[in-house]
Amino acid sequence: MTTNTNINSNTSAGVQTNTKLETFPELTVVHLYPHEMDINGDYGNLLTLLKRMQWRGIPVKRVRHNIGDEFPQDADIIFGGGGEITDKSDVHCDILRIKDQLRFVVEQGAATLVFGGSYQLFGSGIKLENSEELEGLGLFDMHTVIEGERFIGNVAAKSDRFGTIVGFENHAGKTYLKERFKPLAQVTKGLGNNGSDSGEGVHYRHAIGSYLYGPLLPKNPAIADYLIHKALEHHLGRRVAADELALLTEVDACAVKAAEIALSRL
Amino acid sequence: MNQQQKGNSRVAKSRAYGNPFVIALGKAVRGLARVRGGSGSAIPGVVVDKVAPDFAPRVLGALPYGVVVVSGTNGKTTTTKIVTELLESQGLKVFTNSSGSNFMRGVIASLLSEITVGGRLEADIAVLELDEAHAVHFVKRVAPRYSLLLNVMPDQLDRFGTVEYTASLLRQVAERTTGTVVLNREDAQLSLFGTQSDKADISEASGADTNSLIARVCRFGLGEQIRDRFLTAIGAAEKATDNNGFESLPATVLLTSMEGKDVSYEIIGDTFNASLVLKGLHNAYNGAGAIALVREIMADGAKLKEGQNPQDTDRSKECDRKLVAALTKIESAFGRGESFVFNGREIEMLLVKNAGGFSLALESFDSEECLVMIVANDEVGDGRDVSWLYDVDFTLLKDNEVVMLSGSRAYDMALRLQYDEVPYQNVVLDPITALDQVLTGAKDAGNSTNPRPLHIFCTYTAMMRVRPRLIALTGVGSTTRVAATDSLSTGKKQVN
Repeated sequence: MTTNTNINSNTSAGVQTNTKLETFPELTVVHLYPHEMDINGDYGNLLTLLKRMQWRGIPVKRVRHNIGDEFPQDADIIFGGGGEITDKSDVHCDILRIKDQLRFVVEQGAATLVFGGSYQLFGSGIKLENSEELEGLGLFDMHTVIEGERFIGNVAAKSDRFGTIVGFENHAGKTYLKERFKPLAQVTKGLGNNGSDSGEGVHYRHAIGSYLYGPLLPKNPAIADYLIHKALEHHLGRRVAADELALLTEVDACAVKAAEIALSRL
Repeated sequence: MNQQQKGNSRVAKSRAYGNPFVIALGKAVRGLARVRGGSGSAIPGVVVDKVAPDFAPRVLGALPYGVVVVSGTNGKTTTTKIVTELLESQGLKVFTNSSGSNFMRGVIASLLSEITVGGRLEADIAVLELDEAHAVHFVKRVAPRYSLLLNVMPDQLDRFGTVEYTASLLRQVAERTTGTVVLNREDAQLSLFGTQSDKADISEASGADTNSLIARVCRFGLGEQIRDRFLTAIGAAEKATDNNGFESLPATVLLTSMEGKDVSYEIIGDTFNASLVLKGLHNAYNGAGAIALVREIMADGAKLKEGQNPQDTDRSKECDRKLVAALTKIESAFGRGESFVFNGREIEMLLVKNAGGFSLALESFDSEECLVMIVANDEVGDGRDVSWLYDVDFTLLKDNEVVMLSGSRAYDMALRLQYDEVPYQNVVLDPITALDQVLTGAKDAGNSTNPRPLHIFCTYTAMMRVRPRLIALTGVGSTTRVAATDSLSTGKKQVN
C-alpha cells in the first residue's frame, strides 16, 4: 500500500486547469486501521481520492491511523475500509478510545467515507451472531445485526444527489437507520442495508457509509468529488465553488463506460 | 529399480475393486452423455453417486497408498499435477482428477473413465484437486490419508464470504486427514493448524488447547531472504508479521532462493539447486509443498516395504535429490503459463484468478519489454465481483506496452489502469476480435525478425475463449485438452 503523495504529474486523465483558487491548501487524509480494515478492493477507494486530488494539484498529507496512535485533529478526509468486527477486535477497542475526537471532527464537517465493518462501527451498536452487543461510535443513528444469509451480488441504486450508483455488496450485517438518518441511495437491484427498506448506506453531514464494494468510488466519481469538495470547504472554513475542481474528462468517460457495463451485467 | 518393481507388484494385488454393475451403468451413462454432445464429465458421476453412494469411498478406500487431497485458493491445479508427476517419478501409479472436475461427482466421473469393466482401479494412490467447499463434502465421505493445504486468499469472497470461513473449511479437511497434513507455513490462516496457538482449537474446545488433528503435521516454507519478496507480492507482509510468529515453526522443505529459472530448496538442512521449467515464484513455492508431501508419502511407503529404514539419511537424501530432479522437468498445468508461437512471436497465456495470483504473475515475469493484453470477464467462473482488480499493483506494467484490454469488464480494467497511470492502447470487448487485432495489428507484426513477446493475462472464462483461438491460429494443443476445456466451460463453477 504505497501511495505517491507528490503532486507533480497533473498531466494525466485529461485535466482541464482553470482553477480560481491561487493554490490549494494541503488536505489531511486519515486512513483508519489500514492493516485490519482492508478488504476486496477498499484500497481502490482511497486511491481514487488520492489520485483525483493529485491530478488537480491538491497537496495531500496522508496519515495512517493504527491501533494506539493519536487521532489527528486536523483530519479533512477520514477513510475506513471493510473487515469483520468481533468482540475481541482490537479495532473495536481502539475506535472507542478515539471516539470523542473522531465524533468531533466528523460533526465539524470533515469528509468521511466508511465501508463494511467501519460503516457498522460508526453506528450506535452491532449485535453479533453470539447475541453480544458491541458499542459503536454513535455517529450514525443506526443499528446493525449480524445474522442470517450474506447479501452478495451486484447492486444498482438511485441517489438524488449522485444519480445512479453501481457496486457490489457482500455483507452479513443488516443495518437499520433511525428515521432522521437518510440512506445514501435506494437500491433498484440488490439488497442494500437490510434487504427490507431498500436503503443503501447512509449520508449524514459530509460523511458517507456504505456496503458497496467494487470499489465504490472509481465507477461513481461524483461521490469522490463531493468528498474532496467538502474536505476543501472543511479545511478552509468557507464555501468553495464546485467548479474549483477541474474536470477529469478522460478518466470519467472511462468510468461512465465501466458503470454502463456494470449496469448491463446485474 | 528392482526394489521399485517389487514394491509395485506387492501393491498390485491389493488394487481396488468396484461393483461391476455400478461401473457398467456409469460407463453407459458416460457414453450416452458424450453422444448427446455433453462433456461426458459430470452427468455419469451424478447417476452413480445416486445409485451407489459408497462407490467412490469403496474404490478409493482400497488404494494401498490412500488418497491425497490438494486444496487451497491458488495453485491447486498445477500443484496437483506436480504431486502426481513426482509420485510417478518414484514409480507409483497415480489416479488423479486431472480434467479439472474438482468436486465429488467429477471425481466419480474420472474414476469411471479409469476403472476397468472388471472393477479394477489400476492405481496405487489417488491425488485429488478439490476446491475448499467441495473438499469438505468429499472428506466427510472419504477420509484422505494425506492433505496438502496451499493457501487461503481473498479471491472468492463473493462465494465464501470471509477468509476465516474459507480457512474453517480447510480446517475440516485437516481434521479428517488420517496420516499427514502438509501446510503452507507462510499462510497466516493455515500455518497454526495443529499447534497450541491455533485460536480456533482453543475456542471450540471450550478453553482447553487441545490439538484437534489426528494427522501428523509438516510444513513447507520460504527462506528468510525470499520471504519478503513473496509476501510483498501478495500484499500480506505486514499482516503476516503481525501474527503469532509462525515463521519460526519448523518446515521440512524451504524455497530459499529464486533468480529466473534457478531455484534453491533446502530440505532438512540440505541445499538442492535446480533449474525449473515451471515459471513464477508461486509455482516454485508450490513445488516445495509438493516435495514436502511426496517425501512423506515415500517415507510411509518405505516403512511398508521390508528392509528399508526411513531413518536412513543417505537414502533419504538421495530420494530428495531425485524429487528435485523430477521437479525440474515438470511443466505448468494448461492455462497456467501456456506458451504459443505465432509468426515468430512468443505468446504466453496466463490465468489470473485473484489479486495475489495476478500480482505474482506480474512480479514473476522477466523484466524484458513485452506486449501485454488483459482479458477480464465477470462470469460466475471468474467471480462476479471485480473489486480484486484494485488489490493488484499494475504499476509493475509501466515498462511494458499494454496493447489491448478485453473481456466483459474491459472498461473496469481500463479504469483501473488509469488510476495506476499505466497507459493502454485499445479496448475491444470481444476477446477473439481483440486477440486477432493484436496479432495482426501490432507494429512489429509480420515482417519483424524479432517481434516482442506477448503476454496475455486472462480470467478463467476469458481463457476458455482465448485458448481455442490461440490453438487454431498456432496449431498446437492436443484434442484431449480441448475436451477438458469444453467440459469446464459448460458446468457451473467447477474451477477453484
